[in-house]
Amino acid sequence: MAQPAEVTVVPKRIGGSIVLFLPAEVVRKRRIREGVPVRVTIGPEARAKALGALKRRRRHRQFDRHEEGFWDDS
Amino acid sequence: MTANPVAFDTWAWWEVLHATPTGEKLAKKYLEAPGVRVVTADLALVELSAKLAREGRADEIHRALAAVEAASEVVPISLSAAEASGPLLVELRKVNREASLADAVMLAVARGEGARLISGDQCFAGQKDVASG
Repeated sequence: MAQPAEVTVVPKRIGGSIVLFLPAEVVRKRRIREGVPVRVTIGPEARAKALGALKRRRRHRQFDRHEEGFWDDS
Repeated sequence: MTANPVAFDTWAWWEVLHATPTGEKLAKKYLEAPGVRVVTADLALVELSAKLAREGRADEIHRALAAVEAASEVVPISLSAAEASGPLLVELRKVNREASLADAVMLAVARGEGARLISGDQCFAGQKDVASG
């Protein structure tokens, strides 16, 4: 497994600097170099992949905890 | 992260994972919106597993749980959430006799994270920090 690399990222709008630790393969693939600003996006793209992760059945029924009866004894 | 955090109940994830119209709205509003912290109580993963298994879809459990884990911050039931769950169940049952301990746990975890619970469960009716969309 590749060793993590230290990368300095300078957010344009914030104007400060943060340090991110990224896998070496990511650094190579994205050609990230120390001191060179890069755009970093966290969240939305990966999060959106959850949408439709399961195939919808013809008759979709919403999840109803009470109908399922998983917690009858409570 | 700037916007108020939200906690997705199992109901919300079920809609998102199946890309229903409701799920698409939830995804657009919260998952695809930058700066929105989305948390999931670990209990929701258990319920998704149980639901899929019951429907004979055990082979989809890993995919579903992995998607939730990748798309949100899965949080455990903290000590404070556990403490709050008992009294909360009593409170919920005053309004809806069908309220379960799992409902109370979901709401307690959400409140512990300072998040609004996203759920379509009727037993949360009247709770100001619960929304269905």
